[in-house]
Amino acid sequence: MSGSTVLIVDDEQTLARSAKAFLADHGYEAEVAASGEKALELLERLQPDVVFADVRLPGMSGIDLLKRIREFDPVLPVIMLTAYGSIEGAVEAVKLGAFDYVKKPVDLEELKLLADRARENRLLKQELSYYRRRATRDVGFATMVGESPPSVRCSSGRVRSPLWRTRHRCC
Amino acid sequence: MTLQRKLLLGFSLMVVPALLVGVQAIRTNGLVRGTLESLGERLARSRTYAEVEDAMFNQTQVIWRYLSGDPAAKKEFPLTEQVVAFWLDRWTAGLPPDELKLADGVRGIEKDIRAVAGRVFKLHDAGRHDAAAVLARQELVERLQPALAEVNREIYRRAREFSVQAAFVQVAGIVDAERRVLWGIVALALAAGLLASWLISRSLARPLNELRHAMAVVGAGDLDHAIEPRSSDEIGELARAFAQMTERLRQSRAQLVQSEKLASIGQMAAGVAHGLRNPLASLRAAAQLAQRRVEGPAGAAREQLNAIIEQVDRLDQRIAHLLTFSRPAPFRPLLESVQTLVDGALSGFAELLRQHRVELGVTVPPTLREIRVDPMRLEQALTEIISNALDAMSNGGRLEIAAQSQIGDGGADGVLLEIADSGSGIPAEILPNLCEPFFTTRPEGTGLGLAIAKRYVEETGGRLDIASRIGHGTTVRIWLPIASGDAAPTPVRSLV
Repeated sequence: MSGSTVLIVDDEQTLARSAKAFLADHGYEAEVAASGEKALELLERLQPDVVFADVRLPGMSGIDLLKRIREFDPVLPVIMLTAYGSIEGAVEAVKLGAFDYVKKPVDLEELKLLADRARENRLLKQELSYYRRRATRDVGFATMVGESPPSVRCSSGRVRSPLWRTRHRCC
Repeated sequence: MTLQRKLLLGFSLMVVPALLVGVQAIRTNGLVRGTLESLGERLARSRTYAEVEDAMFNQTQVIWRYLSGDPAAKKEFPLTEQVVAFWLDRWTAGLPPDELKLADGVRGIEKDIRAVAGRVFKLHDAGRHDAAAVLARQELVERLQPALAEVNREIYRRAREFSVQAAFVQVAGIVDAERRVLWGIVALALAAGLLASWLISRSLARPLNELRHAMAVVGAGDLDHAIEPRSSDEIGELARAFAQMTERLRQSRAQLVQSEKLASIGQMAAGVAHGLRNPLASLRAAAQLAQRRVEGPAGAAREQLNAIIEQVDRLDQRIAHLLTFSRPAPFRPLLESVQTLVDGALSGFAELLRQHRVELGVTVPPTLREIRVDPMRLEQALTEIISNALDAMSNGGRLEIAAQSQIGDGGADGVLLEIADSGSGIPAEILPNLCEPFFTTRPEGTGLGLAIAKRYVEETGGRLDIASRIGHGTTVRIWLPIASGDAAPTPVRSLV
């Protein structure tokens, strides 16, 4: 678990710092960015395993940040946070490849669980990518291993109402 | 009476005077014709009498011819007698009784002529020609002819007087009578026409005026103005149609006001939700972190932090409630059994029922057909209602949930779901406001529970009514339409 890095992008400093401290308590190396622009600067250096990003940020929005991240890293799990009650943002975010979607106020435990799952997912994808590359190199048939959808992927992107918040997961 | 009948009656009344005039004209015509006929008869009788006179003159001529030496004349005389008798009979046959005396006079003269003729013939046959001529002159020329002339004058005078004059008088009388009757008809027609027109125009114009007035009032925006259709005719129907239109307008205006209200609530809610949830998120995260890091024995501080987190979650629920109300998720109807819905709604209440010491009675007949609703929403509606019922029974009581088939207002099959509590009841004056958004009697309530329930029931095509008696409890009746066989639930596009 150690060595995993999380980037939290939120202009709510108290939340961001609390989340950072909580995740740090659970062995994550966490960093905070107050805006999308700052987050992009940090990404290079930090190489995070998981990104938490608020949908609404000063300047660049969380959705735009997600798009920018997808430009250079198609697999980095990005989990969107939102204070809106609506799910429109969630739908868009998941369509754009967000790993999941959490409504504020968030339970820090839940945040940690999501980070764990996202990290695992990323590891699996990295492994898959590694084996695919090796298979290609060893056998020389690039076409032998086909493209397959990620194994742990939110299949419906369904977002439960706050009543079900504690059971929040992909289903 | 319908407008058509009123108009028919009015026009019939206009025709009546014309009819009366026609009848009077026909009657007068009959009378005049009768008078003319009797005049004709009298004139004919005068002509007959002229024949009598002529025949009698011939008789005397025959006598003179015999005296002047024509022997055939004596034989002709009986023939002239027959001719005179024939015309006399014809004349007297049609004679009125008062003129019979004149006829007797004529007959007497004729008899005398015959007697004189007999004597004259006898004298002449005896060779006494001079004596016969003298007798004839004395009797015929000097006595009988003047007497006949006298009678003739009298007869012609009477004929003049009694035929032409009487006819004139009679016709004058008829014309006078006709004039009187016509004046009567004119007066009657005027009176009846005026009265009938007044009655009909009043019965037409008054409701029209009232309707026009009502339309002006409603047109000015007062949709609550009462419109009472009083007549049972087409105008009454118009008034009823207008009243219905006004009612529908009133309802749609109320709906419009409601939806405007909801739209503004929606806008506000979204802003408030965002504005509140960010600080709440910080607050909760900070509290959660602090709780984790609290040093020492698990004591008071941890408990306080827990309370903070609980309150944050409660606030968040409130915000969620507000958002649910103002911006509900898309409606996704499915076929669902009433039992499943009731069970689903009750599943979260077991502990609360026990705490409030509330007995629960559920009666859902297994034969009840499925209804087509959005199960999540209807469950929430039931949850809100049950939650309210429990709040009303803080000191225990009984909660009855009963379902049964019932035909709805429009004749559609449906299910009536009754949720009755034995709580304190709701005052009648606030009953109409219960489903208004933000109306609440509890300090901690959002005032949205019943508004949400009502909306969820109504969007399914159902109805929600609340009846309550102070001290006896409250009954919420929900009528929901049964899914008809062919109307399969519309597939709602998946959100993702």
